[in-house]
Amino acid sequence: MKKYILVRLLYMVIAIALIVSITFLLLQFMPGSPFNDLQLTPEQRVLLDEKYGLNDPIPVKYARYVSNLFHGELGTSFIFNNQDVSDMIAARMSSSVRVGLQALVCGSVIGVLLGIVAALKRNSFWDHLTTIIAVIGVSIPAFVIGSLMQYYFGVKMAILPVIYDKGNAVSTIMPTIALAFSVIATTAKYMRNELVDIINSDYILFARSKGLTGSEVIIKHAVRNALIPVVTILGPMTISLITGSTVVERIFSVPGLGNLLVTSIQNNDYFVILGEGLVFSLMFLSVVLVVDILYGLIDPRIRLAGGNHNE
Amino acid sequence: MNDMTTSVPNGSSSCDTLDPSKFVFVHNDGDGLNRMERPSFTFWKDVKIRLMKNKMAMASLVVLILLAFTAVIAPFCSPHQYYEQIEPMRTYIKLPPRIPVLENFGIFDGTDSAGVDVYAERGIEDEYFFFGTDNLARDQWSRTWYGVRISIYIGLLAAAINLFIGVTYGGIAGYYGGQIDNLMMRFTEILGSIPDLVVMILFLLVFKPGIFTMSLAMVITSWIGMARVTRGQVLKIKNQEYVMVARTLGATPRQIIVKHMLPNILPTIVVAITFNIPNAIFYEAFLAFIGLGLPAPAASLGVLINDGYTSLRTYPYMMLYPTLVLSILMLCLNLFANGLRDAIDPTMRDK
Repeated sequence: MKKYILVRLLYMVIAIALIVSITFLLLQFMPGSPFNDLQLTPEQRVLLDEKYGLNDPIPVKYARYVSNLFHGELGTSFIFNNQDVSDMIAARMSSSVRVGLQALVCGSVIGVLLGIVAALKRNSFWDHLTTIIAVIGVSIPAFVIGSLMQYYFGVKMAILPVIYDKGNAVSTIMPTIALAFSVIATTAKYMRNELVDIINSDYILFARSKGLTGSEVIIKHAVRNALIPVVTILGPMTISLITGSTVVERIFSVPGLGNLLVTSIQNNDYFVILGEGLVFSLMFLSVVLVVDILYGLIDPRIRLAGGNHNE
Repeated sequence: MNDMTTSVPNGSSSCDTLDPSKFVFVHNDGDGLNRMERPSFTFWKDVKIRLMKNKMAMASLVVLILLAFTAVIAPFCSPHQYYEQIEPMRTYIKLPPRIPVLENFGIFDGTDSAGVDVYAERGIEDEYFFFGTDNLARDQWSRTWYGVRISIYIGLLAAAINLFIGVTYGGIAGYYGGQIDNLMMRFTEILGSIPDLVVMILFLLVFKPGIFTMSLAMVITSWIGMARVTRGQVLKIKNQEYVMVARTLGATPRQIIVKHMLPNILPTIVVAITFNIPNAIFYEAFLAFIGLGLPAPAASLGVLINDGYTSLRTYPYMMLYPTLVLSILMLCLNLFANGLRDAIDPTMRDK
């Protein structure tokens, strides 16, 4: 187990190094300058370039960037009055994490319940509903669901606040639902298929023949075992939450990471984009690491296979 | 074959007295048991039959064909090009949708959300813009269907590049195995641990969004999935007896790959590729929505939705129709892909 964790950690470090290097190199060749303001004279532009060290050779810039990273510094924003990127990200973390966690919890609870009902009552209304939600979840982008909800519930019917407001829990409902939709879809489908497999398995037959009642079998044996592999979709789920957050946060004006990313893309704010990329990757990598270790603990077969549950 | 019904092995002494003419052939009207067999089908014919039985998938296919057909001919139905800003802009800006015939039923009659007939107000009652016009006085109908073309094109192009890179990479890793495989797969693992979003955004920041760069951006992470699928299949087939026999008989690696492996991994790859197309379209729309769309005047569905979103509250129809078309396109592509997957491998079907 120790060796397994060490190997996973090593991969994580290599991946981070790769992300830092690639993103840094790519950004060096990025077209457009952050100082595109027409009011700047060429002399001022040269001064600005010098101040931010934009004219140094690439290796020097890279070394500076990496050493800054070790101090937890992600550089300064070009656009927003020299703000520290790490401060900007930290300030926006709470809103994103809040909406993201809400979506994750609501989405997976609803998804698991829906999946259980669908598996137990196959070909019923709930089963068809689950299938439909699963298809819609992968077909209709979160920004479509989000903006339609905003238009109908927020603008037309005016029953929910249009814009996110930190102090108002009701205003988080719509962004949460918009984000949770894909979570519900993935969890419900996964849970259903997993549970159907288990219900048809020998040990459930055995449990029944032992004389256990229906609900005992389902709760103690089937559902508990079906929940284990659901852990593995946490990784892909994080990705879809991060991806979804960018558009959902833009729609509902959530002052979060995704919103910051969109603004910085539109402004060519190099260091912010780079910093965000790094933070997103770190978030994803840590979730995957935790899931891998958890799963390795739960199911020893994974460890023996070298920890590669993709195959 | 007929001996079961004709022979009379009885062993008793009365055997000779039995008259053979009293016996008749049972269940045999000429061609015997052969009749019970069904005609033999090739694999793909089987797939076709299974697919045809899937109503959902067939309906999706019909809708997809209709969409593609409309995308080809629709722009010709409008006198205005997708990039044309109709002059004078004051008159033609942000018109609500209006369609002949349908206007008599209270829908698509050119009234805005306040109920004012904008066409009458601006004195252009004899003109029709099926989906209205956008904030630069461009015909939304032409733009939407042109957008469908671009979205489908990006989806297909991305899938093609993906196929090429993924299958080659996965094929090499699986076929040669050992240290090469190990190294190649570790690389994909590391690359795959970077979120797609980050990779795509960075890629598009460096190489400005265009149709080709967009498609490449979709491939840059999704080929990993294709490579994994291919490798898994190749690994499975590589050690089967018929491949071993071919190798023993002196077949070159090329012959083995082309003649024995490709036909066997093809079904899995086809399934993977059909899921790839909607994915690419999805990500393209998504990237457009966060500001990394095709530059004007070209417009994919994502770009149109993004443009429409900025004036959603006052002119909802600007966003509504591209969104509707995108949703239908995505739904049908996914439903069809699901159907194809079930047809190719019935064991993958939801129980």
